[in-house]
Amino acid sequence: MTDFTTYIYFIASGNNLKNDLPYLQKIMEMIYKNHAVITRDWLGPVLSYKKRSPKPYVEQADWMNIVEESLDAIKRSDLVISEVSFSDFNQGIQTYLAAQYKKPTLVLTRSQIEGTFISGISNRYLTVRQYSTQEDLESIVSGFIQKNIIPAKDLRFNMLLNRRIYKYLHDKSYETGKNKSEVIRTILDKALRQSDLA
Amino acid sequence: MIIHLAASLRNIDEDEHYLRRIIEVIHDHGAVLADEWLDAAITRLTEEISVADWTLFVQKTLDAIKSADMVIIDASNYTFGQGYQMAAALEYQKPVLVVSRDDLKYRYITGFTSSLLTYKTYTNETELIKLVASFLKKNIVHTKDLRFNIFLTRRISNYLDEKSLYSGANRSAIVRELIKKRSRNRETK
Repeated sequence: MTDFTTYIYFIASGNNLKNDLPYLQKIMEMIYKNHAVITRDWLGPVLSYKKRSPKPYVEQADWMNIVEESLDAIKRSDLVISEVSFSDFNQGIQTYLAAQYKKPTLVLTRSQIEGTFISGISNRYLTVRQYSTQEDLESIVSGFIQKNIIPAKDLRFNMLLNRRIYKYLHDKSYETGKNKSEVIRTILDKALRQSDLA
Repeated sequence: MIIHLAASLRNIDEDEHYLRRIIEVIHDHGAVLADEWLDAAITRLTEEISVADWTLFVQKTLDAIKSADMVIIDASNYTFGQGYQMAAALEYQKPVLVVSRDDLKYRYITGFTSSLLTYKTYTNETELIKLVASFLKKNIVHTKDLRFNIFLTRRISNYLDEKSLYSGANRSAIVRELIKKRSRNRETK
């Protein structure tokens, strides 16, 4: 079995669960079927709360915490799926940020796309698709995840080196006792840490 | 002063009255709109035609946000497009005022702690005018040059003295040039 390696953040509105729930659950099912995990499972707690309390969920929610957690979850994700059939402000914010964080983002809707703001968004990280049935949804979500999945095992990467870099790696390898690949990985790790700190 | 005004095209006939009040307040403060889209939207509604090219429309909207000094969003319809524009405006470091006739109390927007963001609910046009005027006053950037005072360490002060002596430029000009250079470098990155 493939390990869980792809992290997906799932955006939707909780304001129209009466109509949207079967579709949202289908999306989650497809995420799990494709061996991915959800970075912030907000739907479960919302549904559980609704069973327990007659008071609207939004009235007791800690919005500061929710915003912080959701933005953090977008950052941690490999992919984002945004269901916008009940199009609202929150989805607009999160979808914009997902694209800004360079996350491949699938925007899904049962509503007509033509003639809407969403239809005009042109961003290489955003894919906007309309669906009408659960079968449509299944194939669109699976296709998107499969196209963008990150394999569990390490990735092989070939590159050309000029003589100067090769010589540097050779010397560094000799000095440190590490092989050249390890030296490159160390340099990249360091750059990655610095960019995280920036 | 350039202001970008955002609202939903969904209920533009209901919102028009309030949007016109916002525009009046903007003009009263000597500011201009980044994009005069309201009349075009009303014409499209009357003529029953739609936006010809949505990609161009969204691009123009994002360009307008970039070029603006501040952004005002009437989010009474609380739509995807308005949220998208708010996120863009905050990313471009623009002061943003979100106003709404619907209560924003239990909304996602209340979780944002950015000092650039102000969100308020209004019930009538008098309240709306007050909110917009107060936001504009608070964030107005005068078009004339701004005076800025700064403490210098002795080391920096000596450096500027020396630099000034050799280049013939005054110390302020040297600092301005350095900042400009840094700003150009950042833009080209």
